[in-house]
Amino acid sequence: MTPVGDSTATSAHDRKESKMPPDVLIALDGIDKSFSGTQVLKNVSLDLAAGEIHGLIGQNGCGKSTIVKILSGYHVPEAGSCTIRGVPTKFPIANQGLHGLTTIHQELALCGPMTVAENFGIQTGYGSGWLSPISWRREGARLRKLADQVGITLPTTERVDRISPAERAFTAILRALLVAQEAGQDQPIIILDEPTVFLADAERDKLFSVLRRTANAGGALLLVSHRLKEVLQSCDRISVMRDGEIVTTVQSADTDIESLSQAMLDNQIRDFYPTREKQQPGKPVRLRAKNVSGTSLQDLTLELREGEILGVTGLAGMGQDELPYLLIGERDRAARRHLRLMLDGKNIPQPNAGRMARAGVALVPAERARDAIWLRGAAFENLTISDLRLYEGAWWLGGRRARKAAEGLLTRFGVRPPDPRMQLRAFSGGNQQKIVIARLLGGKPLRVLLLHEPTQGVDIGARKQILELLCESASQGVAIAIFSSDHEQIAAMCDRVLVLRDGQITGEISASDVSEEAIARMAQGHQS
Amino acid sequence: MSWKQALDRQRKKTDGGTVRQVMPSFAAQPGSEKAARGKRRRSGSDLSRFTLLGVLVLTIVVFSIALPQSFPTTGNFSAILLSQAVTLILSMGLLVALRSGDFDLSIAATMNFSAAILAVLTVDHHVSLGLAIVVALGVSALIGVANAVLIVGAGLNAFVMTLGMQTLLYGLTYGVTSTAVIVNIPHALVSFTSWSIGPIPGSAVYGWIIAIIIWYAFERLPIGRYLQFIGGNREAAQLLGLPVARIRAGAFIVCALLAGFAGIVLAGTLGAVDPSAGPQYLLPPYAGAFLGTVAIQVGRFNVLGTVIGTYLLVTGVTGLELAGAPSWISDVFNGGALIGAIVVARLFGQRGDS
Repeated sequence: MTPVGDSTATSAHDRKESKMPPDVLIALDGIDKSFSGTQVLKNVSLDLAAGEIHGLIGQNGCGKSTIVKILSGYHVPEAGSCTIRGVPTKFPIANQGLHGLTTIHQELALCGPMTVAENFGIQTGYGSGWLSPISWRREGARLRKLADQVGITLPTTERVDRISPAERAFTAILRALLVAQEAGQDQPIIILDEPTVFLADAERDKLFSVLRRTANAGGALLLVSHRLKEVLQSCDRISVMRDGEIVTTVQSADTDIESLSQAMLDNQIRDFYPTREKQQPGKPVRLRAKNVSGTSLQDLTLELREGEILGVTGLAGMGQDELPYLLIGERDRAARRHLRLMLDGKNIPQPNAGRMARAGVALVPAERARDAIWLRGAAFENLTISDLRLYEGAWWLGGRRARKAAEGLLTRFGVRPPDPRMQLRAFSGGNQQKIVIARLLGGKPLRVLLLHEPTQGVDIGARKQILELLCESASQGVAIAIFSSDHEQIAAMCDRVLVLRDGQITGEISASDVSEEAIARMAQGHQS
Repeated sequence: MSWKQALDRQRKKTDGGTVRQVMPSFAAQPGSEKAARGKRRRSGSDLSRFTLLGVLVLTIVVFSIALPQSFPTTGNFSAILLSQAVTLILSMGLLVALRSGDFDLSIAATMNFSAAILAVLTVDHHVSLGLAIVVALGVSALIGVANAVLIVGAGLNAFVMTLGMQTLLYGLTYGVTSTAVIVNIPHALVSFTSWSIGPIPGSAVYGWIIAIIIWYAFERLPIGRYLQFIGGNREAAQLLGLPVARIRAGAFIVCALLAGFAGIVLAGTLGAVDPSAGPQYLLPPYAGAFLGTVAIQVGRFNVLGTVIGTYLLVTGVTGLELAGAPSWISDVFNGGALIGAIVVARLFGQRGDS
């Protein structure tokens, strides 16, 4: 979750909501939500009517996923109310199934080694009592009946990890329909969080026809996405979010891509980025990577120059989430064998994180808690771990010297509070990220810094500080690459941008042409 | 419930009923920083980390008052130290594996196997004691290598792997000893462990020396910090470029090696090797190590805590047995203490799992 937003951002309720649809199945009203002091949702109101597909769009970190998590009962907002089928409901929203409300996340929550039918009935007890045997014939029949209604067929006895991504999505949707049916709700409410990310174009169309049939049968669907085009094509109404607010809700028929993207982007936000003179090409190449392959990347070649900030982006799932790890020889042992890395003209044989770290190549992972920090460790332990020799004696780690050095780093990088003995989990997300960056920039001199979504889950004040640190390092000659699907940030920060699509670099945008619009155009351009 | 816990509870509750820890927003109120300082979660800065030590002292005092004839005697003191020497060495090895986020269920079996090899070589085959010790330790190290290769290298599940290894080794132990207790252990080995300084038996001194070495490695050498970080977040350590696989493998090998050494001490202490002695040595090291996580460095596997935990367990068991409790009480007490330790750790909000 990216806490964003600033009270100075003016909400633009310029468009009056077009006539309220008659049969509202679920409505959120006046929702406020903050994380560690940062407000991520401001007075959000959203409703889904029977028979409609409602699109929810916005940039990364605008608060879309917080809304999804509130709807799926994970978060409790500070203010606001929720009404489901006319009945006021308390937060956290419980008994989703009884309400006929299902959230389908990007990962779909299916069990790979189990069959379609086994996944289909898992939430409803396979229509069987605790002690009565399951009738797979009856389950199959129920599955086929529901599949018929939405116009698809599924291989009921095939394992879920052996069917296509679209069929997997259909399995999850059918399960949601079954849950609603079992609860006696003939108008299901389904929240879909970025359901099309892993789908090919043809599959995507099929998914939308399934969604349409579900809506026509009386269901209400919320389609959360950041792909304007597909939202425009498939939704009846569209709500646009920016900085934790819903800035407008419009009928798709009354709008177009241009005005939607204008509503989505906020030009004022550029003030939150440090101003930086864009570097023109010509600096010597620092890192050259060849034959980078992974699950979504194929034989990629990439060059990173001294003192530049390179942006690598694409739509979600296009490989920018994998590339930084592959570049230090991690995550994919098979890919490491083919990988060719040259650092300042010198070949690095069999790169791995250890060799790369010794060569001065460091990585800031996106999943901070999982990949970067030891939450129960003290700040000084986290800060000094990668350069222990730098901070302490070889035969007697007293901790005192390290704590002193760590305190210096915490102060220098503006971490609040600058207490080296405090456990990492007690710091806010932004301060944790500053510690991650301080660990790398405060240690041995760096040559290359790779950052994966560097300001994800970081409040706006810390975000600017972190980006300023990056600019400063770049001006000292560190080659920096930002891997992110935050087009806005990439546009504001980078000298050069590479756009990934289908495992390849589809385009490069040079310093003079980098703009959010250009990136978005290139990332979305060749779709469908 | 102390006021401190109550305060902590209160703070946890402020987030609309969910149990999320709320961070004070320092940036927003610079004035509150000083007030917040006392509440901040630092790694073990409050008195609760000495609770376990207090419980140990209390146990000793209570039994001394209740059993003035038998409990507070030099003989009993020596017996307690002697009985825990092997457990202490085993738990020090186990700590290395636990600290790096792994675990090893084959320690007791490795110990038993090492003792059996030593006995068979010296008694049945008249191999010199020195060579026999080298072979026993070498075999133990090899067991550690096998665990490391299959768990760290091939990525097998540590639970199943070391469980299998344990059973396999118990079988082999019966095989090499022909299911018989081997007596007449060479006198040299017996005198290696049977010396004492006053009431302190030599084997206990070996345990303490190993504890000091492990403490030094954990707290004062970079390797200890690496082990701790890998145990804390293996993925992060990997991406930072720490030699995660090598350190984890080393931890398994050190663990098995110390188990092998425990076997040698056991053979010397008893003057005989019983192929069926292994199983009773598995649980106490785990109980001691997990009890240790609620002491000294709360939430972490640490040497001092483990030493306190180990002696607390044996003091309790010995006291109960002297008071006339039947011998099955030791299993009940050890098992109960292990469960109690992880429950307490969880209540403290510290890691009580893995």
